[in-house]
Amino acid sequence: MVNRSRATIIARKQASLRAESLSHGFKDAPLLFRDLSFVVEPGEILGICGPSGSGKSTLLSIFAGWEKPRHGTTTKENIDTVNWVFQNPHGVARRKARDHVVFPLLAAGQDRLTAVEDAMPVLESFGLTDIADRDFRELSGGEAQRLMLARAVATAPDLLLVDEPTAQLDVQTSATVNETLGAVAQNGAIVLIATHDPGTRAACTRVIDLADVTPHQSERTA
Amino acid sequence: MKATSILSEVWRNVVSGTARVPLFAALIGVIAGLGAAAEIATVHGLHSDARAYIDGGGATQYIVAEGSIGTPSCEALTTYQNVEAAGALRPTAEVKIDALPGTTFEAYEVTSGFGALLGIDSHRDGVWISQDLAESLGLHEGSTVPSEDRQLRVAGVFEYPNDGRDTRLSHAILVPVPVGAEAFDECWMRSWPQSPDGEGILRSALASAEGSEVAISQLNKSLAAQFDGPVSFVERLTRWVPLVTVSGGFLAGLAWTRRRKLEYASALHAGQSRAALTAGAVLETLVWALLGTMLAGVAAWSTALALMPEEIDWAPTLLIPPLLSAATGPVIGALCGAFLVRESDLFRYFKDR
Repeated sequence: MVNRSRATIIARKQASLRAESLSHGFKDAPLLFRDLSFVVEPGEILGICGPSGSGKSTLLSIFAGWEKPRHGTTTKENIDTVNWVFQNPHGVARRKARDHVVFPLLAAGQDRLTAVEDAMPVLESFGLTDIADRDFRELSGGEAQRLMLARAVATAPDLLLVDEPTAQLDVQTSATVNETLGAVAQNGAIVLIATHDPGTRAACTRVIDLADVTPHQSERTA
Repeated sequence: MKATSILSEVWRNVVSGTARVPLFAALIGVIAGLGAAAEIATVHGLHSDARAYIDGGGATQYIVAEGSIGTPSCEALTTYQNVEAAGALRPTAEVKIDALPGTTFEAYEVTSGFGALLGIDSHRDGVWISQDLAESLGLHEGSTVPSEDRQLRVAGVFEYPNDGRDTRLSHAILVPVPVGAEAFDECWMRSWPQSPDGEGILRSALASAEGSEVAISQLNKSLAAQFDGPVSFVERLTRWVPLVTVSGGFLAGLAWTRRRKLEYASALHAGQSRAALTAGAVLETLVWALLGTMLAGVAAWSTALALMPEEIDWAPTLLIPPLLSAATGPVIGALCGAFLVRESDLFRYFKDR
């Protein structure tokens, strides 16, 4: 676990993400979802589920501040840093897996010895201890994706947005990611995961199904 | 990010191959090397042109004042700065060679300093003839040939090509004589670099200020009166080489940074400050820029030493500007490239997929 000051931990505990009566659809297109309301707190892993095209990634974009909802509001309390994990892992090909998790800790001001010490438990929580010394280019798709999740945890953001982490992986590899997904909230971040993978859905502490808030055909225009 | 962490990341990027040091060092080495080679070739060309000018007689002048040239004062012209050689000349009785009855050869008495003008060791007894005359007579240095009850010994053979120079000496026999009180007709002088007051210097060889008509001439009038080496150097086309190498280096540095755009955007997203990112990029760039430039410098120096060993003192003045600019360009390029990276590059990359 990354060391955090007591003030930071207290502040993180007071952080929250709130959505009130969110409705959104693209210009001149039917609404994707309507009257969506929820609150998420640190340590929670909220799964945003639904079929392809249901607006999962769009909802994450709204929380990232990239999109403005057509109706409703989002409120972020004590959320200063937002981090993303995308469905395609991206790393530095010739650097070790461990270096990818050590890097955010160095960026935060730790010395290398301490950073390596703090990185190992994070790697372990994602089942990456055995491949810590491998180059990124030698990792499998599942290992690389788990590494991205571990790196995001090491970055210790207030809000972590994970967009379809298993979309590019086969069923077996997806399972290796889903098995360790619970570790993403270990640093007290608020975590939102957009997914249509049942295995990922099962790893979340709570789930919102966009199919439940999709307007009926007759209500699809605002 | 701590400075030690930046340094350790730089080290790891270099040794892991992430920084692609060999590839970009080779690229900068080629840019710097070509720039240095262009400069060396240009100066070598100028040097060769100067050599050809001197060897062709362009830097040799003579004053003609019949019976008015003091041989001591003519020989003493070598005390002037840049006067490499000087000697006096006057016609003497024609020479006959017993083996060629009916043929006479023009002859001139010359002082010992004249030998330095022709590249001859003037300490040996005997006459001096041109290479062309030696070949036509079947003679060489050390040969003796009967001439009117005496043996003429060939003490020296000099090159005197038919390249537009005064032809009098090409088939004449030169008879070295000691410097004495008798006045000669001509004083020859070779000066390099050329003096703007060559005529004034030659006039100081006159035995008296008054007197007969004086003519001053250049040995080879087909060449320009002045070889303006400094102007040619200053106006050389390759004076723009440092600008070219810094531009090439800049593009290399920019390309090096832009190919790591995603990695740098990810680093910013992971919390690295732009200052730390830029510092790391600059340090890694310095590794390959300095390596490539040093290799080019060694190659350039070796080439300069092989081509013009006697002029090697000028090499730093010539080579440092293109090499330094080749090393500086990448750093400026990397600075610009690092400045251009945006965290949004990461988001755009994935949103567009």
